[in-house]
Amino acid sequence: MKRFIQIFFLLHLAFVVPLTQTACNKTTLEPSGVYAQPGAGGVVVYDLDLSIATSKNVIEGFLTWEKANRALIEPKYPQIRGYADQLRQNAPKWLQSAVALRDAYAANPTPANKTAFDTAMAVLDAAVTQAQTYLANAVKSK
Amino acid sequence: MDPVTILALISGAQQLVKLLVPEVQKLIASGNVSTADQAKLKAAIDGIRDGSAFSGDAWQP
Repeated sequence: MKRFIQIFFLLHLAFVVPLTQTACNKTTLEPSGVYAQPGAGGVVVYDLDLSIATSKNVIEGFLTWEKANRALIEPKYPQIRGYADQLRQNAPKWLQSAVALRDAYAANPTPANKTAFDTAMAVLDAAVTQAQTYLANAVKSK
Repeated sequence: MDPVTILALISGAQQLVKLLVPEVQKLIASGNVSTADQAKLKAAIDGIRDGSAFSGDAWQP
């Protein structure tokens, strides 16, 4: 057992440390990609788009889960159905607003436009956090 | 554990690092976004912009 722990420790040093260092690498774009073209905004706009798309995917995942398990969830947690329907109604507007503000920032990258984009993303972040909280609580109390 | 075994283990670990780390780095340093992944993300944003991203079943009440 002692030997196993020592081997584990050595392997941990051998792999985790280099991985941690590597994981801090910055994003780079393959030059032939759409974001890498002149005027496309490069890594900055790529990162904005990634954050919008990630929010959309998390929200959609929550909605898919709610719909697939509605028969089980709704009697016990009616508030989850309520929140999901609220998201179905509002999240498309929030996401489209974030894309519009992303377009504005991409065309004119001023601090004011970045602040406007960040404000739109804060709304999406709150929605994502709430969805994750409902998911976590439902799973915990299963 | 005797010192010889410890040295052997360290040496073995170093060999493993030499062999595997560059491969793992290549995988993780997908900090380099491929042309295909850039196109996929752009299509996702276009779908949000024109509303087609919300036509799936999950988005219907």
